[in-house]
Amino acid sequence: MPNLWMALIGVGATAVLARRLAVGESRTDELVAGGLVAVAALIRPLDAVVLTAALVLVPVAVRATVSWILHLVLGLAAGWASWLVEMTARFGSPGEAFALAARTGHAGRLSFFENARQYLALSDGPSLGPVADPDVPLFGLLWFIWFGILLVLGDSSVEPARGPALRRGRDGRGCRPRDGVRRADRRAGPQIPVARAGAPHDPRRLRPDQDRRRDPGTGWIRSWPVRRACGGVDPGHRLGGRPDGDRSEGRSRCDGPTRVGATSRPRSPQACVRRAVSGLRREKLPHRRVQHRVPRRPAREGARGMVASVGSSRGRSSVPGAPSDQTDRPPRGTDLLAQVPSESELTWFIYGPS
Amino acid sequence: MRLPRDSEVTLARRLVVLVGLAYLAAQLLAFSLDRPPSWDEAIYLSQVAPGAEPLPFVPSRARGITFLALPILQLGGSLAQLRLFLAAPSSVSAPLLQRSSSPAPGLSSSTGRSSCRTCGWR
Repeated sequence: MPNLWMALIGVGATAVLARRLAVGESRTDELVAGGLVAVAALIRPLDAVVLTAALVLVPVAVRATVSWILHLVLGLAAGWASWLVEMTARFGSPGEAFALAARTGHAGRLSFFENARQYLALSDGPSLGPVADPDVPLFGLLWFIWFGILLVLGDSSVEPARGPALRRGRDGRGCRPRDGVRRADRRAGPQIPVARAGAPHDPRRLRPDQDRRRDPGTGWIRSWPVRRACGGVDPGHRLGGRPDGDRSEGRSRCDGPTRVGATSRPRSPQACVRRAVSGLRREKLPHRRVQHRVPRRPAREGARGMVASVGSSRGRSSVPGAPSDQTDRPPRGTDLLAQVPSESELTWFIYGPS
Repeated sequence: MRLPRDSEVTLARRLVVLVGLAYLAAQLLAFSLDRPPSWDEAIYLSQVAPGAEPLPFVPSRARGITFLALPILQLGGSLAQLRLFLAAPSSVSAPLLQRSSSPAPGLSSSTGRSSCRTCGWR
């Protein structure tokens, strides 16, 4: 009876994770996932542990988020609490309850293969176990194979969603293509883009096979500090097209600031600048101080985050290949809030909602 | 890397809705609503059915699922009404839960999960 509901909850929680990895982070996602895990733990505590482990380990592999893990663990604890209280009251301790559950359950032995045989045997008829001397029925075997096929299909279809972030490391450097950015744009509404213009690569963050891209003016956005700076900006794509040409939009190299990401929640300009500087410091990128005082201005409803672009400290128009009319002008609806000196001659130009 | 186009997302969502409808139809048509409760059902329902002697509730079970049945049984609903009550939200929740994921992994994943759920996890 609980299996269907447990499966539905598992699908829902996994969907939240997939959307989070593909589109961007959101505090709502964390709450929803934590709530789903709590409900799962109310229904099937042990299955909820497996679900939580999967939901925690995948983001850790891609990009660790303490808040995400915290919400899941709290949800798991909340769901487990009622079972622990009841079983402690009835059987003296959770350990006693576990022991009894292992004796009376379908498959409570400390043997993976024996448990697997029991599950397969129970897949073809009997509804109560354990089955004495279980045979592996053909139906169970076919089901097992079909399950493996579904696993492969799911993995191959999720691969585009996790994308380069998983392949290139947990900070998601290398960024995501504009498809993901468009989705983030659509989802976040009038969010503020984050762009980085003409920055050469930092050798510390490149793999050997990426070195060929290290020419001025074709730098990839280093998404991590940007994302951190703007609290949920998900990696976007870099300015000015790929080194091999941006065929889909016909961009040439460095043709001006480009929308690369979306903030998932509003932040005040002060918070954005603070996080920008913090991200630069964390990344050990050269920085000195915020040169301009950031005006105190609350984040407007619907105006999310900020714009950050990097240009030469001698002037944004000197970004190689960047037309001056695009780089000199703040993006529509924004004002220049601060300039943060960055590596070499580059400077972060931080814009906020005007 | 290619994320699904909008048309693919729309198609995926429609297919998921179709799967939900098919699942609802299968539950209502393929099985009798007033069939006798299975062993598992009897255990869970006896915990919250008014006037019923609770069957042994072993530690391998948890009470979460009984909360689903509680409102109907406490209001004096029959087993058929309870099954109808549970069939509807389970069929509706599938498209709703997967709707949020269809923009991300795309068509194959959404439909794959749907088929996984409806074919196997009863």
